[in-house]
Order: sequence, then C-alpha cells, then structure tokens
Amino acid sequence: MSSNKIVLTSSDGESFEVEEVVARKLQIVGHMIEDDCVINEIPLQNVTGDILSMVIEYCKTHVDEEESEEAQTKLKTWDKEFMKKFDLKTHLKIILAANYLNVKGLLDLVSQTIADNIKDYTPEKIREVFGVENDYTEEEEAEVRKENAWAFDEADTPKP
Amino acid sequence: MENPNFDTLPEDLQKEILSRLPLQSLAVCNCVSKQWRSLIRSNEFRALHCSRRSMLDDKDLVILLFFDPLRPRKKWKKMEGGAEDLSVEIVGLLETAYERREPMTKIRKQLERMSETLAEAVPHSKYAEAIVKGMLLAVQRRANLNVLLSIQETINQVFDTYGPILIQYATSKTTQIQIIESVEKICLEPQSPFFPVFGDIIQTLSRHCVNVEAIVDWEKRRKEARERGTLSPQEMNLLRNMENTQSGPTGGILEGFEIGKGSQDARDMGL
Repeated sequence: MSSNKIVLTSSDGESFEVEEVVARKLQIVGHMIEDDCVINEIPLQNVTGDILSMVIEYCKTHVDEEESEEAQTKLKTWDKEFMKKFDLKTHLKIILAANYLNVKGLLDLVSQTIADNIKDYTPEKIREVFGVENDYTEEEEAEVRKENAWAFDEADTPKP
Repeated sequence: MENPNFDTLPEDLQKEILSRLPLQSLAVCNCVSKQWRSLIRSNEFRALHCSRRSMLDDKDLVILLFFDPLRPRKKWKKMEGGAEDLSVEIVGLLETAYERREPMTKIRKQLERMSETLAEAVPHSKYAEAIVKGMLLAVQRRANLNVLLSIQETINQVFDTYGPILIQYATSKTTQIQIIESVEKICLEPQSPFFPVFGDIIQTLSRHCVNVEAIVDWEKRRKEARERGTLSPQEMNLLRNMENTQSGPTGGILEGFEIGKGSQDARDMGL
C-alpha cells in the first residue's frame, strides 16, 4: 500500500492529514482519487471538523479489516464503545456525514445504533427526542393507537 | 447542518434507520406521525425491511400474519374468509416452535392477546372452529413426532397448550356447543384420523374448557336426531363408535369412557 498522505479539509476549514488507505475508506474520496490521478488536498463541503474527525477515527480503526473471528469481535466491541461516546444529536450528524462521505460501514453502524436506542420508546418519547411534529388529530391518533394497541402492552412491561 | 433532527434527514436515511427496527417497534412508530406512518407503509420501505431480516422468528411471523405494521389494518380486516385457515396456520407456526423445542410461553402469550383482536374481524363460531382445527392439526403433528406418547397423552398435551386460548371463546353454552360441533364436523370428514378418538377429544375438552352441561345437551340433541332418523350415515357411525367404546350401561361420553381403545384405533389408522 502506498503511504501517500492526503489532506482532508472540512467545511469550517479544519484540515486532517491522513494516509491514502484511510482516506479511501471514504468512498467519495476514493472516487476522486480514481478520477484524477494525483490529489493532495480534498475539500469536503458538507461536513464540519468535529464530525469529520470522528469519521476519520472510524476509518482508521477499520482500515485493515481482518477476517478472523477474533479480530471481528474486537472491532464490534470497538464500534459499540465508539458509538456510546455520542448522543443522539451527534448520531444524526454522523449519519448525514457517513451518507455524504459514503462510508457504508459507518452508515450501517450509526443507523443500527439509533434504531437500538429508540426501539423501546413510546411515540411521545420519539417525538420529543427527534423533534417530530405530531400531525394527527386527536381522533386520528386514538384510532391509530387502537390499531397498534397490541404493540404497546409489551412495550410497557420491562423487557428481561 | 447545525442541528439536524429526524424530520430534516433525507428520506433515504429515515428509512435506513427505521428499517432496522423490529416489527413491534414499527407498530409503535406508526403512532408517531402521519409522515412516519406513510413512510413505514410504503412498498419501498417494506422491501427494505424484508431485506434486512434474513430470517424471521416465529413471533415475527405471528405478527406479520395478524398485525403487519407495514400494511394498513384494513387488509386483514377483509380476510374474514381466510381467517379460519389463518388460525390453523398460526397453530402450525407454534407447533414448529414446539418441534424445535423452543419455549412456547412467550409466543403463546402473544397469540392470546392477538386472538382478542382477531375476534373483532371473525365470527365467533368460525373462530372456535378454526382453533379446534388447529389444535387437531397440532395433535397430528405431535403424534408423528413423538411415538412414545399415547394419543390420549398427546391430546392432553396439546389441549394444555391451546386450551387457554379456546377458553376465551367458550364463554357461553352456544359457543361450547359450536366447539363440540366443530370437532364432530372434523371427525366426520372422510378418512379423518380423528374419527376413532372423537370421544377422547370431547372428554379432554370437558376437562379444559367445555362444561359437562354443554356436552350432555349436545348428546341429547344427537340422540333425538337419531330417533327422528335425521342423522347421516356418518353421524350414525360416529355415535355407534362412541357407544361401542363406552363400558357403562347408561352411555354418555363422559361416563365410564375407556381411554385406551380409541387411542389404539388411531394408532392403527396411522395417526
């Protein structure tokens, strides 16, 4: 592997010097490298420095993914711990960044993390944490609640 | 973006997140907003959700059959005709879980709760018949699976499992008689393997959910019908068969019923 260094610049002007192999984990960068042979500095318009540094941390850890079960388990544990460091707002920023930079593994990871977090929430709690506007009328909401009542019984009782 | 929230995410990403939720959570999500509901119920979302799950467990299948949160409820409200077969299918699923030696308690709890909602869509009598049909199917499957148990033991076992569900429907005498009639109807089908164990089944029912009064009542009406000569040849056969297996002089299914006989017949018939 080439140890060529590439500089990634965030929308707020922060620069990160990374190895080409790491930068290639960002598929958006990978495509740019393939299209024009030599690039040393890549501006990334839609991501701020704080989020970009998290994405780079993920890519560095995942740069050589070993097949062995042990290595995979270790990576999974790291992923979990990595996600635990951030709150929902940050998770939403990461998902946007992972989508824009096209980092499939991170997109999967952060989507799953968000899903796991809201899995046992009530509709009220979901609206609150996501800032979702409730556009049901009172009657409509009562109806849809009745329709899905079966799902609530168990959600109310704590899971083992 | 300074402070993204869920509504401002591109729809693809909203789907990316929600498609990773289990079915039960999606039902809860339906209640969040109209926008969420229409997203969850889109065909595209459905396909994505399916692709995420390599294998659904039995509980998920039960949910999909009755409460598919990915589809409008109307769909299954219209299924009236098929509801009976559906119940049989459900029992089939539960039996698969049983054969795999999975704990049944959780799935059964789910089924009991669902059966309440199902009752809204299906006529009472039909539902009782469906459950009875499903139970007999379960007897058949378990009998094939475990040859060490007698038919009577198998019937007991199955009725222990599904009895509680049936009890919900066997609240009135009319329903109880409907249940007996359902069993009768199934046992009278040509070459029914249950023909010889009809008595065993009724007797087991009487211990679980059908009260003696209903059975006596049913018997009385049958005898009257015989005297009037309005019974079909099959029904005559059934009555005769039952009486032959009874040792008491006064007859009646519940009195002096000989358990072993019917079971042996059923074995001989390859049940």
